[in-house]
Amino acid sequence: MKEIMQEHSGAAENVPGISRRKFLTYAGGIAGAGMLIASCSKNDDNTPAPDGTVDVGGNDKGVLNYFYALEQMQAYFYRKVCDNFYQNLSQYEYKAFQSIRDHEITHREFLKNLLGTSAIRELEFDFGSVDFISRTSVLNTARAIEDISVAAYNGGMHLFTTPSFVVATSKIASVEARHCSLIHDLLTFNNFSEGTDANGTDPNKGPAEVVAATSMYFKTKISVNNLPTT
Amino acid sequence: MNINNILNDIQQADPEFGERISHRRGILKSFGSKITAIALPLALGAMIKKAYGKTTDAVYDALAFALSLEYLEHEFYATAIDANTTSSFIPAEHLPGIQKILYDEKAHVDFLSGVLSEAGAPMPPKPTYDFSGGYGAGNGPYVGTFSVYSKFLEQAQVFEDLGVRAYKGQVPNLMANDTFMRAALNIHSVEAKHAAHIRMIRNVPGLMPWITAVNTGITTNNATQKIYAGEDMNAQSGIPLININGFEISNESATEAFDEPFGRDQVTKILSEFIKP
Repeated sequence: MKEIMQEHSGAAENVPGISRRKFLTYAGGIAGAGMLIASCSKNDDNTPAPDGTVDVGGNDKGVLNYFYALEQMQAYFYRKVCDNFYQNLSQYEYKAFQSIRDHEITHREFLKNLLGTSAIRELEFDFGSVDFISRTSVLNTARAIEDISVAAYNGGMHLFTTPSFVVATSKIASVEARHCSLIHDLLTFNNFSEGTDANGTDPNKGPAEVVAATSMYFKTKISVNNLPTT
Repeated sequence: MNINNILNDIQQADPEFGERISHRRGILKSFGSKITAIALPLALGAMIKKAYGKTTDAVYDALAFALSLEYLEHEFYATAIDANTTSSFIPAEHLPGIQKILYDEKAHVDFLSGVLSEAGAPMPPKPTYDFSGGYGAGNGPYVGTFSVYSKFLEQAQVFEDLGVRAYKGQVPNLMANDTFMRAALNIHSVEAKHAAHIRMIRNVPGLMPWITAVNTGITTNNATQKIYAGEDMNAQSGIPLININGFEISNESATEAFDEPFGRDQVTKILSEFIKP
């Protein structure tokens, strides 16, 4: 319990609209639930809960599935962007979005194959809040997704115990940061490393915080309650 | 960073540390995350010190190595901004971006040297640089980098892409310590953001913020090419990526989707071109 509180309490400062106290309560609740489940069932079979929530599982495969879920989200979003481009798109943006879409599809399918039979199912998403013909709407959503994706890799890779998974996902993490930089620059030129702190470092977020921050895009809800905490 | 908890942990194990930083914790509570970030090197340094002689050698080596890279990057941009005050070789619309990178690199130097200093660990010496890439002779391929903007950007791209590879290579060495691993990753992603920005503002046709095979858009020196060695991998963990699972994925996309790490020896060898022996 203490470990889980430590994992998420500091990063809670970065969540708009969630006070630190509230967040601690929330993380504590999750921790409690996780312990309860862990104590009475083996939970690495990704069985959907009665309400359709997909549990990413535990251990290294759970962490891979957690990243797989985030890559599914990103690939879905960029596919929508490229299926129906916004107005007044530049040639550079056209090329960039198609490339980003293909990178995210590659990440998604790579993680799926790496997981093999342990992979969670294909999830459903809802980007109904996005006006896909509006450049501002698309770029703002892309920025939110890339920011959270960078923070998720930075704050999730330490949960692996297998070095080869760390190596593989660190190769993806910097590509997400490259996307993030471009999207920020497209919104406001020279804003590529917006959000670094006084140490010049990017924020990191733990899985519970990432799931909370992206839940509006997940039609199929996911649970990260059984992921390792250190 | 979960600084408050780190501070708590250390204080429990080391009451003396708690006394030393107690006044800072007061500040920390009143001013929030900015001060929190500033206090982080102090806490991380104490962590190394506390564990000294156990699992710290790999951590120390990785941090000292990272600092040597940040020294170079910082001095590179500081020299450029300095030169620009008289020559204005950086276009005005690009200047805020170059200044932001300088700011980030300075913060990385302060952060890493703060951690090492607090740990009482030996500080790697800051070398004298030869940004011409001439091993100290001053006549390397990048002569004129601080007056010819296109050359400066090529070199900036080389340093940033190399920085990404260097941090990535160190990440597995930090697995024993979650806090250090996250700190390294949080810098690693910032280096990648810098690299992407430099690639974009170079405005070279076909050059994107990500690395396509081993295409660099760099003409200054063929030797630079070795910095991109291996970036053309189109399979990862034994999984072929071209047209993976029936999706239309080109060789270019397959190589772009993953950045490759470099080991210390590879990075040190490349950096030696820019250091006066």
